[in-house]
Amino acid sequence: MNEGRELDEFTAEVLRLYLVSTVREMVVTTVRTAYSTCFAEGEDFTCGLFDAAGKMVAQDQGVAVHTGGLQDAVGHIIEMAGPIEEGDVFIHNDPYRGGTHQADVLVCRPMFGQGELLGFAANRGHWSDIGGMAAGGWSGGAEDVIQEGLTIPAMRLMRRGVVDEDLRALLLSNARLPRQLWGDLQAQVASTIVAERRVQEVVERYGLPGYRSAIEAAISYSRKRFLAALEPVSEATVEAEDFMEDDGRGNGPLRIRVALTKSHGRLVADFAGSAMQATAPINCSFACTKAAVIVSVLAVLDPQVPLNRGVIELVEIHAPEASLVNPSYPAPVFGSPGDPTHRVAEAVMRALAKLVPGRVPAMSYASGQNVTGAGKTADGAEFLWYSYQAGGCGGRLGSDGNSAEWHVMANCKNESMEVWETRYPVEFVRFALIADSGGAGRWRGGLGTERSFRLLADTRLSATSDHHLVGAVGSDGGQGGLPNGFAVERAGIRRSMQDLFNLPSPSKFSNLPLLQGDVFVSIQGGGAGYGLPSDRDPDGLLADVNCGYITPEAAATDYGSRELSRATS
Amino acid sequence: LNLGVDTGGTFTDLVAYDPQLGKLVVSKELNRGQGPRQDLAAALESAGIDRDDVQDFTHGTTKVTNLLIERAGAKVGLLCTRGFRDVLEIQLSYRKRPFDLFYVKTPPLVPRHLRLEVGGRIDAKGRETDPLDASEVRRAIDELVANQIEVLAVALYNSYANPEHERRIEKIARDMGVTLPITLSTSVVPRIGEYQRVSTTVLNAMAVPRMEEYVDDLNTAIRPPILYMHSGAGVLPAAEVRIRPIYLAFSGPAAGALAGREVARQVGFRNAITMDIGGTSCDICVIWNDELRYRDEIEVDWGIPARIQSLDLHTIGAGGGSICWQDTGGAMRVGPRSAGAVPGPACYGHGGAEPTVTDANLVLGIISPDGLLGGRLPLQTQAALKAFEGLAAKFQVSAEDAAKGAYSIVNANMAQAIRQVTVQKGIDPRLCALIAFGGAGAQHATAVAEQLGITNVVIPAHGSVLSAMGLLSADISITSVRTMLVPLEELQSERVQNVYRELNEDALRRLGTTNGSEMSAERFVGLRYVGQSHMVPVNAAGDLQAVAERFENEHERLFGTRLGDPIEVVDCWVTLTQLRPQSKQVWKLLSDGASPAVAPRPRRLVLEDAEVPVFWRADLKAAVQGPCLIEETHSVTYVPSRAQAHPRRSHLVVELG
Repeated sequence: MNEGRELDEFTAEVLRLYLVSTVREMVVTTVRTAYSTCFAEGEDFTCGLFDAAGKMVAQDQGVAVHTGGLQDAVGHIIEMAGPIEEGDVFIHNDPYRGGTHQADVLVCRPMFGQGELLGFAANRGHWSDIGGMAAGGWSGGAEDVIQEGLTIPAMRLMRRGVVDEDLRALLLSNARLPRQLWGDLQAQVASTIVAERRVQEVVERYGLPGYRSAIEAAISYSRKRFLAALEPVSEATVEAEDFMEDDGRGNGPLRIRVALTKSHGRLVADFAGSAMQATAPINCSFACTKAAVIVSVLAVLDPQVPLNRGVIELVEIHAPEASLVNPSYPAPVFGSPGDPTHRVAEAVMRALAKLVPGRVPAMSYASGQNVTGAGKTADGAEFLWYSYQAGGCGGRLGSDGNSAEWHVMANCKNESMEVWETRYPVEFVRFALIADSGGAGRWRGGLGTERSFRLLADTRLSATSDHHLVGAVGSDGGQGGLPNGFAVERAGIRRSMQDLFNLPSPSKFSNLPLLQGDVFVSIQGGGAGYGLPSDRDPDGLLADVNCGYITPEAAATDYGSRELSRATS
Repeated sequence: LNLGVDTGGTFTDLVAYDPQLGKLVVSKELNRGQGPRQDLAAALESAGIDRDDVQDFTHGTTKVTNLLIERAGAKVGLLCTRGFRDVLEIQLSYRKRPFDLFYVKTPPLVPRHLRLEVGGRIDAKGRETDPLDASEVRRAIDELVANQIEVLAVALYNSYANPEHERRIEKIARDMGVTLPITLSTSVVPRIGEYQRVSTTVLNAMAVPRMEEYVDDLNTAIRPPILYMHSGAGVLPAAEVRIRPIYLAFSGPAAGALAGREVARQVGFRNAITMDIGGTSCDICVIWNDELRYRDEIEVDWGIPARIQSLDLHTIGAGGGSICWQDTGGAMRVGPRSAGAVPGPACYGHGGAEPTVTDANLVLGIISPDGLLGGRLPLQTQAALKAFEGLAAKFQVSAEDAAKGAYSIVNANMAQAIRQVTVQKGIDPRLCALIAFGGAGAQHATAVAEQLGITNVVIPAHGSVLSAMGLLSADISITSVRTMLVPLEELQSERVQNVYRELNEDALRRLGTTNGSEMSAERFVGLRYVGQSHMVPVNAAGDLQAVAERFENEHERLFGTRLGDPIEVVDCWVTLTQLRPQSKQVWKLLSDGASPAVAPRPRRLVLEDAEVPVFWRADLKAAVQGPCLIEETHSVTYVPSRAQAHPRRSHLVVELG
């Protein structure tokens, strides 16, 4: 055993890898023990390790949007906790104190070794339900945060290793699917046990000073690497904006404006000039705003920088209070991780494009397209499904955008449709790429997707989405992508949800009654093009037409290819 | 003569033994790239074996793996259910590098114009809700054939619940006079999960035409029927390989892991981790309670799964040729880029200038400056030092310190992979022995073990041809599987029992004629708590209570929880096994290798900062205390201070203090 001294730089690097691997083990443990498809197949959760002061040391590149406020949430828990003891486990989801939105529930375990607080292990995961007016959340009609679901302030779920049964009863009485919820929560807790064990092993072997120098190595590695990526960027202030197209009540568009300044090895993002907060779930909780800024900055400058305090401290974020990107209680925020986060990220990336030309793709479909359906089957059993889907990403300098791929702020696995059919009263009709949905360009946008299924029972539908009126916008002469959409096929006729129910918004609604036999159509749009369509390589265009990614008509109109329109006429 | 031949990307390894004479011959020969028949002939010739003496031939090959990874398979035409042809291209929509804006998604296995849709629908309960339109099917097949496909794949939606439509399509194609090979998804993987099923089906189809040629070519080379190692560490008859070559995706590493278990048994460990380190990669497999661990899905490329029964093997890009470099955050990185065989590590003197793991080990004194392969490959210490001086300058340390750093970081990468593999299975690596082989295994084994808290390391005899030894240890085994979504209570029902009987018959039929020795059939069932996503496989023998108990025990072992909730069946399968007791006799014939003409000299080992004794493995008759090095023809074992090395039944066991 080591008596504990500072480590040489290579040993510290070995331990840094060990911390990263510990976070991976947390992820694996969660997947293997989870109950919901959302956790186990969708992997809609994120794990991280924090030092004793609650500052982030290591995290997995899980769900980007979960990352931003993790450190704030852990900090808030420390502030509220009072004396922390071994075996305590905290739970938290308050979107006004470091939380993203109520469905993302954080489980946080203080880790102890040699009688000292070593740090914290945290796991933030998307629960399939957290109460509120719409089953599964995503209630487009909510007017305040209370309607959206249960808010859990920083509380002890376990005290010295013993579950607080009162709290358990309270939680389980306030959400649908309590059994699944408890199963997922156990998975989150299990992952933090693994983390504590691993960190204790480091301390046993290298002593406390050794462990601390490993943490220091992790933070300084990220800082150095980020500074190296930032160094060549010229010192300047650039501005850009993007919009939430409506608030679900007929108001909009709502501006998100960012001024990005690089100076003295730091980046400052200032959102002054953004719209005031809305009385609709299109606000971006501050944790989500932070995540969107940090992730998009890393994605553009160096996607391999491990995210931790070393980076977070070099990116300053200012947002006016009571604004769309830093709302004040009790503005609704459930939609935050879906569309508002994507819009903030796009605004930041548009600004970055002015600082580092050629390194930012054209815009993506960029919507969560989050939909939930709930009801009862013929035999009286309650059901609740949660649907999300990827679309087309923007074209880039040198390559077309990816089709059916997540935007940078999200990354989930498609769930099996066959499995869905054994669990929920639905029957899939198609899951397909949409021809011509990618914006034309020298490098075209990726194709969007249509995912349609027949409802085998009456179903109440809730959704929050965006980009249904205007699609992704092209870069450097590229054209826009197909917007997103919701529609219903009833008796063979397809109508948009907005039209069918006479809604003020095409993309934000709660508890709309669809009937058994209806086909629900969810369209996730395409990415935008990059560069002039006329510069597209003719062979590439021909291949696209052969594969049906581009129709001959669009080849003629969007790309001006006379040859192709003649060849197919 | 019993023959085991393992053909990798570069070498063909051969083990032959004569049960009457008790004679063992091993050889290692460079491939010539003129097909399996030629490679076999060359290997036989170099080992001095007459092909007519061979009575029993077991073969492992990386052919399928390479075909799939290099996308060098056949041109596939795919028929899908209307509305679902893009499932293969959409994949899981899951990015490999989440923050990378320039990430390019893995291209689809079949281009879109060769994926055609047909009407007809089976529902989730297996009922036909929309009939197949034969004329539409014929039109689609005509179109694919006109596009000069080499093989037809059929993967219909919900077909796991009822294979009827897929079978009718096959019949229609044959009635049309189509002679191309056809792969039906329900004949390769009749399990729920449309994306994994279509991906597996297409991967299989890609390999069929090439493996038909391969098998037929090899059949002409030798008289006895050839058995092929599959990914699940059993062997299959050639006829099965021609139809379902995807089962061979991990043929090579599976044999190594199987041999690792034999070694573990011989030296008395029931829990072990095998680690096979070559020039570019490191394969890891876990043995728990004398059982190899399995998985039911592998990944051929990012997001491209194959649902086949396979050993739970994990591969990382770390080996002797892995290149050491500094990244933009100022940290040392090792791999995954490799110097390969050409130019190879700097010390080979073939023009390589970048520092590699082999160079580091030479600088550190682990590898002898006299060279590898018993001196047949001389090494240039100066070149290795020079390569490391360049890297060391960036860290402002000495070349020796940089080499030490590279050594500990590549070991950390391997330890990290082992940690992840074991935790996934709910296994504590400290309770396992580490069995290390392959060219570089013994050089790193003790250091990796130390990082993991493992106290026993085993360096097997014949470590450089261990996979070929594993071939001779394999029993014939074949698995037949089907998804059956029912509550556990129905496991004993007539319906489910009928399915087991059908699976048994299917497996028997696929096994074909056999050597007549005893055959055993085991029934398995994949279970989960209602609502979960992942199933836990358990033996289906015994009454319901016994099965439920087995599941809950396994669930607790894997996940730490025992929920007492309702349980449901996901998949049923039957594994037929036929033992091959005779070929396993090879393990009784192990030797300690040859002694060199000159005794090895002590040399300076940087890791110990001292000159340490060097022993020749064949001469080792009693335990030796570390620090020391133990040399043999193809490898060298580093025994650190506070460790002891014991020869045990020709193997070497290193106990770490």
